Amino acid sequence: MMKEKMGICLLFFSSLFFSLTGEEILRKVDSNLNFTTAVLTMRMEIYLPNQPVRVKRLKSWTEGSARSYVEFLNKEDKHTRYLKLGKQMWVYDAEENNTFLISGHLLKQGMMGSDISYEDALEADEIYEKYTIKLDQEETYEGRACYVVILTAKVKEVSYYQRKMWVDKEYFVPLREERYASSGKLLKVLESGDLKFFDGKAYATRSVVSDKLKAGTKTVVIIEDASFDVPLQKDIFTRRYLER
Amino acid sequence: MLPLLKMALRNIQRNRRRSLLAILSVGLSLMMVVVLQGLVDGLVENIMKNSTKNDTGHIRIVEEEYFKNISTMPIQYLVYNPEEVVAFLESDPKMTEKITLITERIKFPVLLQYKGNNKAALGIGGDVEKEKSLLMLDRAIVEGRYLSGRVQQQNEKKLREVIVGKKMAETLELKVGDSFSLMLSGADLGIHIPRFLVVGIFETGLNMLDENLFFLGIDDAKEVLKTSGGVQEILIMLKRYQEAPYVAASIEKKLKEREEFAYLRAVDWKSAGGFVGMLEQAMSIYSLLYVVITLLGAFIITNIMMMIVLERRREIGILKSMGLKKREILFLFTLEGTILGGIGSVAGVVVGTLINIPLAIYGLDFSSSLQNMNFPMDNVVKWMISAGSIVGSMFLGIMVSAIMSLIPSRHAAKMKAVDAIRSI
Repeated sequence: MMKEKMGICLLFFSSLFFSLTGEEILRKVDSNLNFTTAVLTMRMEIYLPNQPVRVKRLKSWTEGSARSYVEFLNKEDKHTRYLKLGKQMWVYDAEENNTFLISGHLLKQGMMGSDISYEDALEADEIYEKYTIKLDQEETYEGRACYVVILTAKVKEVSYYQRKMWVDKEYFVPLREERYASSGKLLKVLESGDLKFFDGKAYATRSVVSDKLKAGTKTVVIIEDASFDVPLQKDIFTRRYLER
Repeated sequence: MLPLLKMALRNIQRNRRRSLLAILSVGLSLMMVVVLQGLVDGLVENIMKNSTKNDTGHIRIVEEEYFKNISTMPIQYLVYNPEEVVAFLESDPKMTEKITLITERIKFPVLLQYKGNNKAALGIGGDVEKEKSLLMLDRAIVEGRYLSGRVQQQNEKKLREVIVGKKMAETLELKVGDSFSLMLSGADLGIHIPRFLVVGIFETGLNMLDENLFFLGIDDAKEVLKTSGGVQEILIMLKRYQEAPYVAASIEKKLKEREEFAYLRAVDWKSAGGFVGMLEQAMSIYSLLYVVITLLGAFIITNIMMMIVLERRREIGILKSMGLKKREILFLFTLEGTILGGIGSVAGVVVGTLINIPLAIYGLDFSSSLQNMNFPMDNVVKWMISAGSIVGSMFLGIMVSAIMSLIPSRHAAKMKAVDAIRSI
């Protein structure tokens, strides 16, 4: 009887010791996406009410989380290029030979009319500094066992006061994220799927983003091709290259 | 009838001070009603004029989805081949005899950034010539010049001419000759970063325009926003704006005759909502206010008539015993009250109109009150005088006086002759 009780206590304490915290879960998500460089070819489908679907094809070159360069492959947007350096984002229009630094309230606009805002792209790497992270519970989502992690803002300078993530327990890939305002109003929903494996790491190749402040809109991003840890052109992350 | 009228007139003169009090009370009320009505009518006319020429037109032809989201001015929902739509409408003589102007417009909200300053602004692309009759910005130029309709080149860079509001120029520290860039999301959902050259600064006296607006040619707007020739609105101005709902319905019916135009809607300025819709609702409240003010003024007639009835009880008894019927007594006293109210109404309306005349010519300057407001209202508001309002106010005064006289008159009519004579 005594041995059984001790066994139960040991099991209980060891489960406390070895279970993951919210932050640990997200760090595992990050390590899953850990690469020095990445080159992605993507298709972005923009859905607006009573409008035909707009399809844009783009290619991005990324170094870590701070540097990124994007070109469009579809004819209509070939003149547009983006450059992200740290917390700054420039856009270049080759037709007008003009560059613009996106700042202030413009960051809240959707990229190319999509439901993905510029600040969504810029804020991606700052969650640990800006949020307290807590494991809420475990749940099944789309047939997958998931950790439900809740991020609550600890600073005022955030786009979303609270974020709720469903993280696949096996592959540590976020499958769903809900983003809320401080009033509790749901602002955005992100759903990911179609997992593919690169160097043994799982990567969601299809994401659907819907801005809940707009009726009947959504943006679907599909990764058509991905290469990781490949050498990149040295000057690709420069204003000169952007404006060539 | 005539003898009763003569009696009423004579009775009114029996106590001149009391009669004067009644006349003054009604007169003051009617004077207030006339002045207030002049202000409200002037305000409504001003707001309606500014709203229609600057914003809604008398009628707008738009795409259905654009109308549903009109507050955000989405650039994706366009009237394509607008020149064909215009030509189609102009081919109908029944339409052209009602219309004074048809023009195209594109509107796009932007965040202007210049020299570290930010300003939420509205860009309007319009026909440079036709907008001289609508926005009338050519007359409001205080620095530089109006648009020439040409695109300029500077160091191989294209510069499109714009004129900006004076207050906006001050906020952004923009001067004539400066150029700025905008990041625009076009109808193709692509990003475009055109350059604009400030060729002129305007000051209209309307905060809504001076603080928020920059204006460019319609062809430039179509090009920078990649509309493929489409526009968000075809604006129509009519000879008589009151006919707008009827003409809009006719236009919409006509557009449905052609399949390629069937997706369009014709919306009159009243259906557009916004300030104009608010005004429509406010007007009914103001009408009630006029009645209440008049009632308050005429209330004194009830008091005075009651006093008269009580004072002249014996006289009423004698009149009844002499054969005057109930309805004749009722009529006599009501007539007295109505005459007092009528004289007061006429006096009040005349004095009120005399006050309104200089206010209609010179107006009052509300610029300090309107400083931080974006109403489609000129800073100087002029009163409006109309024959309809004058006659209507007079009629209101007389009617209310008659009604207020009824209560004491009924009291007099119901008196029994014997009881009345005995009350000394």
